[in-house]
Amino acid sequence: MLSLLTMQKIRYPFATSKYLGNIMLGFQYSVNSREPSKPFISDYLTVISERASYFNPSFYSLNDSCISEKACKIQLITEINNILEPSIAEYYRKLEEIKNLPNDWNGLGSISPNEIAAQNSYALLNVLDEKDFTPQQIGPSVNEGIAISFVKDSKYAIITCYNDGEIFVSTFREMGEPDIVQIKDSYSDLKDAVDRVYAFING
Amino acid sequence: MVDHIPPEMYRNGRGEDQKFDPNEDLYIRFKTLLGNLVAPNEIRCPNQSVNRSKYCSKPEYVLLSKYPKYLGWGYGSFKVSEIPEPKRLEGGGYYEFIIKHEPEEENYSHSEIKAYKDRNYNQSKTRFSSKHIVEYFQIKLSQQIKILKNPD
Repeated sequence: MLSLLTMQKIRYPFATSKYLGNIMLGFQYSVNSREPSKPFISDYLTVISERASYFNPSFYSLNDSCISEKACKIQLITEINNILEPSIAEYYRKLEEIKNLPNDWNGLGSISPNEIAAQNSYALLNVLDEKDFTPQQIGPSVNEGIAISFVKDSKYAIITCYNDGEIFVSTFREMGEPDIVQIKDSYSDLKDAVDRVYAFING
Repeated sequence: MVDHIPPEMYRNGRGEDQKFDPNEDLYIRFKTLLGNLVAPNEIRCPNQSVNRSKYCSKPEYVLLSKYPKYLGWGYGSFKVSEIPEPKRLEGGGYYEFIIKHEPEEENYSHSEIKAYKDRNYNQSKTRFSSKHIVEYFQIKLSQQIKILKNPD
C-alpha cells in the first residue's frame, strides 16, 4: 500500500499547482488501492484545491485502521484538514475582497471597511508573513473595520483595524477575561503586537 | 426552515414590554464562527439585535426576514443575565449594556442590547465612542452564546 506524501512548504499559491499534481497523484494511488468510486477521489481534490496553499514539511501515511472506503474518506479529510493551512497569500486576496465591499454589506446597515483599515491590515499581513504566522480568519467588522483573527485550542486573538485608524489587539481564552490593548500603526508596534499574539496563541 | 412569518411574530398593535426576566432567553443570528465562538467581529456595539423568547417561541425565527438574506446563517441563545456586565475604564467613562424591547411590525420580539456611556446612548448604529468597550462587549457576549445551529 502506497500512502506516502512528502510535503514541501510552498509560500505562494502560484507554486502550489506544481506540487498539487504530486499530491493528487499520491492520493489517487492510495485511494485506488481500495478501488474507490470517482466521486470519492474528487472529494479529496475539492478539499485540496479549496484548502491547499502550502504544506508543512510532513510525512503522510494512511492509518492501518482505515479499512473501509467511508472510514478512509473520513480519515483522509480529517488529516488533510489538519495538514493544510491557508497561506498568507490567501488572506491578501480576501483582504482585496473585503475592502471592495459596499456599504450595508451585511444588510444591517454596516459601513464597509475603508482604505485606512485596508492599509493597516495590509501592513499587518506583511508582518505576519515575515513571521510565517497564519491567521485563522480575516473579515469585515460590523463596527467599521477589518478583523484578523487567530485561534488555537481554546486561545483566541483578534487584531482589529478600524476605519478611523485605531488598531486594537485582544487576546482571550474561551471563557476568560479579554486582554485588550490599543496599538499604533507603526511597523514596530505591529511587529510587537504580532509577537505578543504569537506568544499567546502558541504559548 | 420556516419560510414565512408566523402570526405570533406580528406586532398587531401591541406596545413595548420592558420587563425582562434574567432567565429569559435571547436569540441571536450570526454568519461566522471563530473556533467554538460566534465571531466577535459580527457582534454589533452599541446596538446588537436579538429576539426575546417571551414573544418568540422558536430560536430559528431570528433568521426570518422579508427576503432570504439570512439563509444559511447560524443562530444561538443566551440569557438576559449573561449580557456583559458594566465596565468602568481607567481612562474615564462608565459603560453599561442594557436590553431594550424595540418591537417591529413583523417581529414583535425584536430587542436590542444597547451600550450606554455615563448613562447616555450613542445614536450611531455602528460606531461607538470607545473601541475598547466595543471589543470587550463583542468578546464577552460571544463567550456567552450557546450555539444552536451552525452556519451552513
